[in-house]
Amino acid sequence: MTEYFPGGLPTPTPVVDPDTQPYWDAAARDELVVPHCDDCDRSFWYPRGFCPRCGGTAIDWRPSSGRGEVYSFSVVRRAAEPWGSHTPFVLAYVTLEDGVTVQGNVVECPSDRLVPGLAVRATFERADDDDLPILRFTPRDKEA
Amino acid sequence: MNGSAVIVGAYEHPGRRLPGHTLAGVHREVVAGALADAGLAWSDVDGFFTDSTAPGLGVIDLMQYLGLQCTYTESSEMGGSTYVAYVGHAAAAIAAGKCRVAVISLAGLPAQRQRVSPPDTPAPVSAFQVNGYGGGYGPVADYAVLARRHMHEFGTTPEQLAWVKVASSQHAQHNENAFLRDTVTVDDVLGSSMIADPLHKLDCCVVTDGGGALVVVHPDVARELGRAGATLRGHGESHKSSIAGEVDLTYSAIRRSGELAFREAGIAADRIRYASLYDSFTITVLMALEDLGFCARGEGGRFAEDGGLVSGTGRLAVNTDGGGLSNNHPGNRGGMTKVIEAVRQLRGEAHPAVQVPDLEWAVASGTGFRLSNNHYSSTIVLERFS
Repeated sequence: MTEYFPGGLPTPTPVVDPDTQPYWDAAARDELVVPHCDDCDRSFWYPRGFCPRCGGTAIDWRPSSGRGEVYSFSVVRRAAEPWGSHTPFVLAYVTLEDGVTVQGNVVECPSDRLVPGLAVRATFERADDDDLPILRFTPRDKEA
Repeated sequence: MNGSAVIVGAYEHPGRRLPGHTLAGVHREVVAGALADAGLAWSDVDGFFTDSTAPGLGVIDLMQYLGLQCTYTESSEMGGSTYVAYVGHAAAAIAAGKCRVAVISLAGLPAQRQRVSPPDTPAPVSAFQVNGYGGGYGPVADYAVLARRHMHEFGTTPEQLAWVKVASSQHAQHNENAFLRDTVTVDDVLGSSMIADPLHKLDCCVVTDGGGALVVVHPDVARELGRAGATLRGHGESHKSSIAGEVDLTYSAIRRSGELAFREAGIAADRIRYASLYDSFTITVLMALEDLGFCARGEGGRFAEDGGLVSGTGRLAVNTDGGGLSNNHPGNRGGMTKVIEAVRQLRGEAHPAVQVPDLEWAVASGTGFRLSNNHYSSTIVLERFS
């Protein structure tokens, strides 16, 4: 039986670290940026105002293609509220082309496509206009 | 550190549902039990270790309640690995001359809706964690993501995961205090409700009230007591997380903690015939089997299947009390019961049906938080003391 995992998952507003404002500003424009350390020349995740590898504070908020592939996932069938009324939904790790692996939900996806390696792209969801946009992923068709 | 301390007291609260109890009261019961087991008095205690959930303003309020007069104390938070790590911390304190009789105590009442308050200040990562640590999807989904990758990478099957639960139930049938004493089959596990694919309800540990305590002492004290126990030979701890967006779910922090513990002990996994392995979920045990070197990476499923973890007939006796999957996971923290069953085994005081004969060495390993992302592990190597 093929199931379909829709969008519209909860988007509780997180407490934001002011150092990460460039990420949230980009997200508000439906753009994903990934922090890159100019000192050690590598991208990192999750966003903070310094590099967790070398401690550098010269952070370049680089636009990401948002393209990646599913590293692993689970179809969650039981959860506490507010997620409980949205089961089943998908929790996944997605490895972005930028080299970082990110936790997020896969939405607008039929169950028969859901495998490790599934090509996905970033999308943002918010339940209300004053919610912060939350990073999610959705399948993309393979380019020719 | 090798040989600097001996576990001479170990006590597991017999209760699994404790209505009418207080958290402080459970601490009192288990500390009393462990001291009686060791043959020591409350006034002998000069070191006290508990976790961040101690009632009131923490460990100092608890020591006042218990009537302890200590010169060394710790109330850290490493989740379920805390009490395994504390055996090492207590030994370090004893070796440094800071105390001679250390008590490690765990109490929890999750089945009584005891609330562990969420932190006032959320972790920085919570803004990027889908729904943060305290919310929504709970720990099962995080471990399910780990299990899915193990299946994808190594061909591990749901049946192999189920065998971990089957072995625990076969041990628990002999434990009169076990929360679940009925034996289950692989089909029972696969037929139980799916919580977070591929983990079923019976792939998950029990939720129980209760607790336990350990008494860790200077070897001179242990020799005076004349009670059998377990000498700490090696101790290791490690943290692993997706610290900068690098995620590799094929190994865990257990690996580094085990390397450190075995190196200090001067032995390898091939000397071990009993292991207490953290079993918050069935996949946690497969990771520990591989990370501690009981089998090669990716071979955990094949090691566990067909009764591989059953005492007497399997490849390695694991969690002979029934573990967190069938016996007890007090306060949602399994590290304490892991050490207690290892001590029982080394003393020859496990149930005769699951006792490993002539046991000299044992391992206990614990893990805190979530193995698929941010977690902390501790492993100890113990030798029989008599």
